[in-house]
Amino acid sequence: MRRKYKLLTPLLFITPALSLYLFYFLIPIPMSFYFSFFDWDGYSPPETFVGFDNWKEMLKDDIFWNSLIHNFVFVILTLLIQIPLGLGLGLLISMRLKGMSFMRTVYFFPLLLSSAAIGILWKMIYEPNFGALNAFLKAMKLDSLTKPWLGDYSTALGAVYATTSWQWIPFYMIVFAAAISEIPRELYEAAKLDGASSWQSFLYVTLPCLKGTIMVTAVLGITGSLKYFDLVYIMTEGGPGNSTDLLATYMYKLAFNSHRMGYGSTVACGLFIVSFALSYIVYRVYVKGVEVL
Amino acid sequence: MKMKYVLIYTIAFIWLFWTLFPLYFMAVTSVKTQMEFFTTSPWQFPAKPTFENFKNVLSSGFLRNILNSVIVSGISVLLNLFVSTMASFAFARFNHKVFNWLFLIFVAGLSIPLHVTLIPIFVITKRIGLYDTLMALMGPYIASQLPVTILVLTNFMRGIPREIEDAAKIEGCNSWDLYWRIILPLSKPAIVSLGMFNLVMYWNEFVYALTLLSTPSKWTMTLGLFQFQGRYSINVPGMLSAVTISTLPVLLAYIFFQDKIVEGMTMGATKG
Repeated sequence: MRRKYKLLTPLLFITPALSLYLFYFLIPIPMSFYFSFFDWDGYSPPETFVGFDNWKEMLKDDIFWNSLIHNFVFVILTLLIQIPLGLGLGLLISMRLKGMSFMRTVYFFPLLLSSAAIGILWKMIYEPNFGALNAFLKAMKLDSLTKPWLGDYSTALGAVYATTSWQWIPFYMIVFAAAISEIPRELYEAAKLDGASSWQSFLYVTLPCLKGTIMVTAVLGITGSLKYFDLVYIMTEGGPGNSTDLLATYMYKLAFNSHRMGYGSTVACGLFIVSFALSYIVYRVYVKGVEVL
Repeated sequence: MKMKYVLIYTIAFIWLFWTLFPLYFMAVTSVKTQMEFFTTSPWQFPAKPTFENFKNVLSSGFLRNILNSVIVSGISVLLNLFVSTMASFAFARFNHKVFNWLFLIFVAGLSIPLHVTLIPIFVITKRIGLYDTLMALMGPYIASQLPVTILVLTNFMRGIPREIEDAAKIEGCNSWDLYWRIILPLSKPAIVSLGMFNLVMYWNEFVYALTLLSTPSKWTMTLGLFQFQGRYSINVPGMLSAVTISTLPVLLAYIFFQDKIVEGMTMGATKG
């Protein structure tokens, strides 16, 4: 009796959060799998059972695979560009130099803006005729470099990625700055006494202390890259063609613009499987990494 | 030595420029007339700044969208903090296999893109008759932020010394009293930071609003921005003044609560 009571109280405390989470997060995942076996426009109840047809279509769908590749390109660029730059800026704003706290305040701005605001703003920057970027290039007498940045197959994905970097590098910066501020000062003083240059103390004090943070940001960067939707949808809707489509934007357009709810659900399941597998791998590597460190 | 400082400050100013030039472009364009925008360089400051654009945007229904965002984000933050603190209290103070598993299930939500759930949520929302209402957003908003909020709060509450509670238990406090009178007040720093963080997230949320709303008077701020740019993409100064208006509340909040907001933004990564 006493045991049961002990379980009941905490369960009551968890119930409100758990029911919301079940209703709006956990149950929808198997529902997506259920819908993926139907051909369905979203208006009527799902009626036409088509078995694995949607899944077969997805495996042969070039747009699906290209979108997945774009997601992976984002993952790799995040690891190669956003996180290293975030680390560099984190070091920069952690220096006890005049003006750095002002820099820190300003550098943070992009994180406060909605993706909708950032997307529209950058769309205007990239605008071919009146945009700020082409105007800048013309002023620099580099007319040959002007382009319809978001309308050109070869530049659209890069242009969108530059915008996500503008938005997210400050996040990594601030995470690194927080970690740097927790490194004990004595370590630097000891290194100085041993005659270490500032480069050496970065290499042998700062970097080892930041290993954990680097891994955390890598995990966040990898899982976060599968969650991109807002910016891409607002700036290009996946276009031109499907050259900037990510899994999430492709899924959304299938379901809500082309009214192919069944196939859209299949792509959603694909996204789920990819992110689940990726987090599992990342988790295993992370655990290994923690052991090694 | 001198060289080093020159280098450091050069990098610092390059990044300052990179961060600020879009915002400068936004601010400058929002006070230009359309005519002036088409005839002058986008970088040039207008000869006579005008606030016509702001007036037009605010009288076009955008104010209503902003109000909707205030209502939805405000209520969602309060409800989210309420249910999250309760759950975190249980996770932090009761050790049992069941709770460890439940906690893991919540945390696992961090790595799953919410887009996987969009179609079912759309279907559910239609079925329960909430489609195209502000109420429709609150459930998904709360659920989507539960993982990070519960993770951070549980870790914070685990750090609160148990001695205080033991004393309270001897005085005859029940679990609710422990939660309401002791854990909750002691968790205030974490709650405030997470509240700020969630407020910014909800204020800026886009995809649920896009999926679950259709009538212009129900749109949130972000959806309003998106729909305006679809319709009036020619009117760049008008667009950018709407963007400016949408960013002002958060920038103002940032000026007053900078530390709390920065802390809230990083908590998920550093305290998790």
